[in-house]
Amino acid sequence: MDSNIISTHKLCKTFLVGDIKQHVLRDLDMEIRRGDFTVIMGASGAGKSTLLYALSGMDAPSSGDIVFDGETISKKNSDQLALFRRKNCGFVFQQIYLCDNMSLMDNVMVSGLLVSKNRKQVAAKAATLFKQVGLTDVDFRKFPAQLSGGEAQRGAIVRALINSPAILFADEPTGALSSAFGEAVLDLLSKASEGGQSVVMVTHDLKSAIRGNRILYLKDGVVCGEYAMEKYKGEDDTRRETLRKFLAEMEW
Amino acid sequence: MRNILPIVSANLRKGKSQALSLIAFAIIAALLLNIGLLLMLNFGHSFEKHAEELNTPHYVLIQEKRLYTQEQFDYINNYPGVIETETENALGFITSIPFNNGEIMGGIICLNTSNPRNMNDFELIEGAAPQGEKGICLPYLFKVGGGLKVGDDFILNCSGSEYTFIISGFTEEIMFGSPNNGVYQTYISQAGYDAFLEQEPAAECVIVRVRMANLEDGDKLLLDSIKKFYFEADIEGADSAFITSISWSLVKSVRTMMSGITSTIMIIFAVLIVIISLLVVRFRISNSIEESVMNIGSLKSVGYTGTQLLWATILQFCSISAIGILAGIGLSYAALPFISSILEAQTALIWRQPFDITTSLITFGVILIAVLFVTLLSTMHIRKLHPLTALRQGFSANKYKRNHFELANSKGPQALLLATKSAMQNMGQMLMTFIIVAIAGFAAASAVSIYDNIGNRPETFAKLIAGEVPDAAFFVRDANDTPYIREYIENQNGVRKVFYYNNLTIMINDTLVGNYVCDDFSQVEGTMLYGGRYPQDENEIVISGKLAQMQNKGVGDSIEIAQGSSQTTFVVVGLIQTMNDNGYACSMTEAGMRRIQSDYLPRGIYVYLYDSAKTVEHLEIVKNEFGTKLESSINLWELMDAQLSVYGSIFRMVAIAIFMVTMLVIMMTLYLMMKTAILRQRREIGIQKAMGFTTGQLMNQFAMLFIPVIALGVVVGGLVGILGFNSIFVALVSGMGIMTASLPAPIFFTIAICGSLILVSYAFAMLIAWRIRKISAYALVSE
Repeated sequence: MDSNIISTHKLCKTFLVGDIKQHVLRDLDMEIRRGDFTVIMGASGAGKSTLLYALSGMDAPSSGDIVFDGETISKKNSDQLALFRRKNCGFVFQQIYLCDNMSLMDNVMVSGLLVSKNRKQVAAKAATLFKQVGLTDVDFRKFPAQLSGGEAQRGAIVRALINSPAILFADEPTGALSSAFGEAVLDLLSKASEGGQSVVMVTHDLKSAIRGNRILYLKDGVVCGEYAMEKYKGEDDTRRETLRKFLAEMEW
Repeated sequence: MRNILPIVSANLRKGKSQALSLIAFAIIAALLLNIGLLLMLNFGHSFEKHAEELNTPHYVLIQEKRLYTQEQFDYINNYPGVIETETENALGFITSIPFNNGEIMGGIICLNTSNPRNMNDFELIEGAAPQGEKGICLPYLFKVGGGLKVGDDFILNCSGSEYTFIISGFTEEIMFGSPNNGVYQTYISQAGYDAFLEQEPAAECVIVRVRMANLEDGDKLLLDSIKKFYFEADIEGADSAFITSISWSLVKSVRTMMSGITSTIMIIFAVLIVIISLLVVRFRISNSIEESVMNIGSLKSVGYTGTQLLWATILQFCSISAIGILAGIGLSYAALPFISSILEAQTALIWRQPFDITTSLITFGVILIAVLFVTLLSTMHIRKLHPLTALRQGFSANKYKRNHFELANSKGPQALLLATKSAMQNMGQMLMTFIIVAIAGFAAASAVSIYDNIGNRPETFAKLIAGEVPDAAFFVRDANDTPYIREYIENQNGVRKVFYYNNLTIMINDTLVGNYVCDDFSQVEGTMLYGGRYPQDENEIVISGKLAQMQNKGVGDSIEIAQGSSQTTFVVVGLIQTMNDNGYACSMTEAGMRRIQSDYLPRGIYVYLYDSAKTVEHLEIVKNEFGTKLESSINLWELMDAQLSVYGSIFRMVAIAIFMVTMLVIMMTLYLMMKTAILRQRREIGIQKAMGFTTGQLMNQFAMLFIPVIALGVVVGGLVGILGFNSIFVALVSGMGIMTASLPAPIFFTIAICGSLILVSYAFAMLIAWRIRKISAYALVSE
């Protein structure tokens, strides 16, 4: 099996702002390694989220190729990408994005039933995952608006994991949460990574970035620096300092 | 006002397409209401005005010249209120008349074009005045209802001889120009008249035309003259003579009958559309308030008052509606020539309606006030909404309270479950959709029933309006010949049953009544009887429902019938219904008839065959055998076809129009609801797409959200339409004498139509949901 789960070749993404072309990703060649907790960092407007959504098949690149597990996904149409996402990807968003009109359990079931027809099995797996993230059966019967941000984001992680995706994408998952809730969410992502789950997370927060074992620094649409570490095993000052130095070199 | 205009303008810009759909509803409502009102308020008036322009007589008597006396003229001329009298000789006879590719039975009067006349003179609409011996001008009805054109042959049968004329033009006739009168006034040239008179001297008649100071007095004169000439006096040979008289009011009621029914249908339908429009307005307002509750909070926080915001909403919706109503009124005038051309087949009137400010203002006012009322009701709570509450309501945690159909425990396809969940969370919207579609479904089912029963398979309708409809009917010139002609017919192969059946006019308490006399009521197959039983004894009678209402009589009551100076008492044993004789009818045995007229002898023979397809053959055999002894031989179904095709074409067009509007309403409702739902759930769609839902899955989910409620609405509306059709029909035609109806509901046709409505709705829903493709998962995170 290839050690890279995703690779890109000359990946470009251009946006038209009025009459001006804005090149967000420029001929980007990079890989995401299987089982890694990859963190993408960079200044605002560096193209972090654009890269994340291109890699996950949420958005189509302007040019270049994205190969996922040996299969080129950059040429797929929107429905093919939808099928690709349901099978291979899990998402955790900063704004959480749970469907307001469904209970937390239904939000998870909707995703689970896209892949499996075994309702009971999906429900049982969801219940187990909820338990793992510390949500009770009273919590997961609630609507998103009746939950705290941390509870809702933990529910969103359950939704992202329900189909055991090959890769989990997280876009600033703690951005809208308090410090305590943010830590809990990061613990869940670290735990998933420990279990061999590939994770790609976009963040601008050092406390979050430290959870990754590979840091890619993006500047003007290209990866201008990369830093690899051991997998996260708990709070470690040395790890924090090393990462801080790397980021300082990157003029973060 | 100046302060609220920017708010109104911003709201209008924001919801352009929804404003357009509201305008469309207002257009349809105003279009139908204005047409209905114009027909109801102006058609009769237009008829009156037109009749006055033609100096139409208020009473006309036509009688064979051999029976006409100076005493009759003196009676009419000296009758109170008569201001003008004129007489004219003409030729008149009962004959089969070419009409609508068949034949109808009726009276033909041939007038000499060269004769001078003041009242309803020769008024050509199309073609030229008759030339030579063969030229003839017919009433306009023969063109619009009868399908004849200038240059066609027109063959008449008088005393067993055929006369072929060539149609040279069509004229405008008020008194003798519509199918319900049964007498048609034609014009031939001086040469033609002289030649015809030479051949048929016995057909010479006298026409007496009268204008009165008060046109309504024409009815009184009609009644009194019939009483005087035919009931009090005993004119020898009057039974078989060509005699007819009519009043202006009677003609008006007959010729404006269809416009009355059509206007009632239009107005009922317009009211339904107005109700639908109001529901849509209410939906749009609640939706708009829900969407912009935070804006309301912002505006209130900067100092706008609740009343200002209320006025802004009222101005927004009323201005949209006003545009639609004005457009609808404008369109109604454009559609009038088309409506008029449909009605012409029965009314034979060319109706040109100029712009009518009163009717237009009524239409405008009624709809706008209704919209204003609903807008006020739906927006009142804005006034009391606290700015802080409004600002916070955008983040309300209490919007969803119950989780219906938990996915973990509910079985069924996921798209259906998600759609059902969504439907349960939007019950108000679903209920509104249901009501709209049920109303539309009811209208569609009624339209289908009208189309099928009158336009498509009119047998039951024919029996309902015509009473007894055998395969063949023979009317014998001399009543003494009737028994052996009947015996001959009875011995023919293929004859199932034969009985005597005659229609004579009698007078009951100063009302002219058609009297159906039969020798054996156990033989009749018509559906006239709707209460009690047919008479068996000589003192028994059945009367029509309309007559029963007028005379305040019912089964078990006794009724007096005047003949000459004597009165005869009958006991009412049953109730019948008919549209003939203006709805005033009765029926009795031959023995009963002889109590009124001792020398009564039957002249009409009704024949039912085993195989109706052999009617023409049977008629030929009898005609060949008895020739001129028969006054007329009628193929009743052919006659009904020719007459019903006039009603058929009108009702067919009305039914098709109702069905088209129904389809349009369902589609517009669906569009409005689905578009709003998609816009409101953009975020959820984006999330579901991110999770891996394809556009097709989401389209299906949204279509399924509305299709069950649309299907339910169509089914409920369709059922009410099927079950209630007869009551609706009776309500429409009760004034014409129909008291009860059991027209068969076209169940399979209705199911097919309702099924098609649901399928088309589903296809259209998928088409609307196609816009989901434009909502991308990425847009969710990038916006």
